[in-house]
Amino acid sequence: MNQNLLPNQFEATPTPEIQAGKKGVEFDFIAWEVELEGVDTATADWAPRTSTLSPDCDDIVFDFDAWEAELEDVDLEEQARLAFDGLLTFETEDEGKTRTISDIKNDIVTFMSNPEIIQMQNMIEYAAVQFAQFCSHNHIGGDSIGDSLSGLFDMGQSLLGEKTHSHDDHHEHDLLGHDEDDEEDEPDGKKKKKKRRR
Amino acid sequence: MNTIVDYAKGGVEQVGDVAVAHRSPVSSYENIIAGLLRQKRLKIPVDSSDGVKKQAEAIGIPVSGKSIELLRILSDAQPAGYLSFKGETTHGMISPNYDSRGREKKGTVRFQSVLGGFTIRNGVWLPEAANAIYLAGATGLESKGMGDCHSIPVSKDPEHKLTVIGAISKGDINIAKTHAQHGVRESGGSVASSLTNGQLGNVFAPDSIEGFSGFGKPVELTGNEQPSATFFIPVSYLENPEQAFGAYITDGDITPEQIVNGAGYRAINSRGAVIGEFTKAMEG
Repeated sequence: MNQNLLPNQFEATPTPEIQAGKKGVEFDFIAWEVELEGVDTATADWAPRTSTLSPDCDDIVFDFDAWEAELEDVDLEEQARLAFDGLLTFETEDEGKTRTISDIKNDIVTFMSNPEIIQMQNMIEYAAVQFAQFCSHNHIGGDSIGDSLSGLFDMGQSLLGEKTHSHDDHHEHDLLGHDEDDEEDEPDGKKKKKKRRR
Repeated sequence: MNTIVDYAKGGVEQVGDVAVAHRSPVSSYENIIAGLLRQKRLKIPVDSSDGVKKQAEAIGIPVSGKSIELLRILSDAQPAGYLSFKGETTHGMISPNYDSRGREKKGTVRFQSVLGGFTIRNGVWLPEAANAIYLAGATGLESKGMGDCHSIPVSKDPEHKLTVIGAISKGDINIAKTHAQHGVRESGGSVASSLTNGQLGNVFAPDSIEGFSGFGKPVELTGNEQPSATFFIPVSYLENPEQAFGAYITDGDITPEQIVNGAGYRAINSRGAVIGEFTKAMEG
C-alpha cells in the first residue's frame, strides 16, 4: 500500500495477485452478522481505521462470460475513438531539458502581455509619479530618500519628465497647427521630416 | 514540493476524527480486476508533447444491461476512469449510491467527476495523485453508513463536518442547522460538488486550493441513459489500483475523507473564517 502519496511519485508496481487473477478473500458473513447482532452501532467504536468487514462482500462475484457475450454486438473500439479523440496527451519528462534564451524571452513576452501585469505596471507607474511629485513638493531630494525608495523616485522623475516633454510637444505642435510627423518645405522644394524630441 | 495533500494535512488535526466507511477488503476486488484485465483492450491514440504518436489501452464498460451490475460491484472499490456521455468525456470516480444517510443501497451507481485531473507522464497513464485522493475522499462520503447522524455522532461524520465548513464559507449557518446536505444528495447532487458550485458553500471554488479546482456535477448511472454512456478504465489503472481505486488509496493514518475535510477547513480558515465546534454548529 502506498504510504506517501505525492503527485506522480507512486510505486508503479502492479499487484502480483491481481495479475495472477487470484480470487478474493473468503469471509463468513453469516457468522459475522450473527456476531454483530446486539451490537449498538451508536456506541460501538465506529469505523475502525482499516475496515475488513462489509456486508456487501457477497456481491463480489460476477459472471464475466455472460457479460462478454452481451458485449459482442457493441463496437467499443468506435466508442473509445469518439470518447478520446484529441483528449489525451502524453507529457514527456522535462528533467534534463535545457531551456534556451529564446524560451525565456518568449516567457517574458507572454508574462508582460498579461492584462493583469499591464494593469499592475500602470499602478506602479502611477504610484511612482505620485511619490516623485510628493518629494518635489516637499523639497526632498533623491539622495536623501534611501536606497529602497530611490528606484521609485527615479522612475517617477523619469515619467514626470516624459510627461512634461510630451505636454511641451503637444503644446508646440498645437501652436504651429502641425502634428509631430508633419513635413516642412525645404527651400529646394523637397520635403523633410520633422525630428522627434525625446 | 508542497502539494494539496500536504496542505490538507495541516487542517486534518483541526477537523478531528472522522468515521471511515466500511469497505470490503481490497483483496476482494482482485478477481473482478483480473476479469476486467482479460477483456479486449481498446487502443487509444494519444498525442505526445515530443511529437511522437503513442497508444494507451483501456477497457470499455457500456453503461447498460449487465454492465450496471458490474459497475455496482466495482463502485465499492471506487475505480477512477472516464465517463463518456452526451458527447463529453470526463475524468472521475465511480461511487456507491446509497441514500443520503448511507442506509439503503440503490441499484444504480454514481460517477463523481473532478475538474482537472489526470496525467500521462513518461507513458504511464494514471490519475494525478492529489486528484485521486480527493476523488477517493469525495466518493468515500457516499459509502455505506456515511452521512448518517444517528448511528454516527455528527461530530464524526465527514459529510456533516463538510456541511458546517460550507455553511461558514457562505456565512449562512442555516445550511448546517438544517443539515442541507441530505436534500442536496436526495436531488442527485453530492456534498463535494455542492462545495464547489456554491450550493452548500464556497470551499473548493471560486478560488482553487493549491491548484485543485474542485469537483464536477455527479451523474447517476441507471443503465437507461440516452444516448448510451460508456465508462472506460485505463489498463494502467487496473494494474495499479493503489493509485486509481479509492478503496485502495490511503496515506498512512490519514484517510481520503479526512484529507477532503482538512483541505476544506484550511481553505476557509485561510480566508479568515473562524470555525467553532462542529456539533454546536449543527445543533444551532
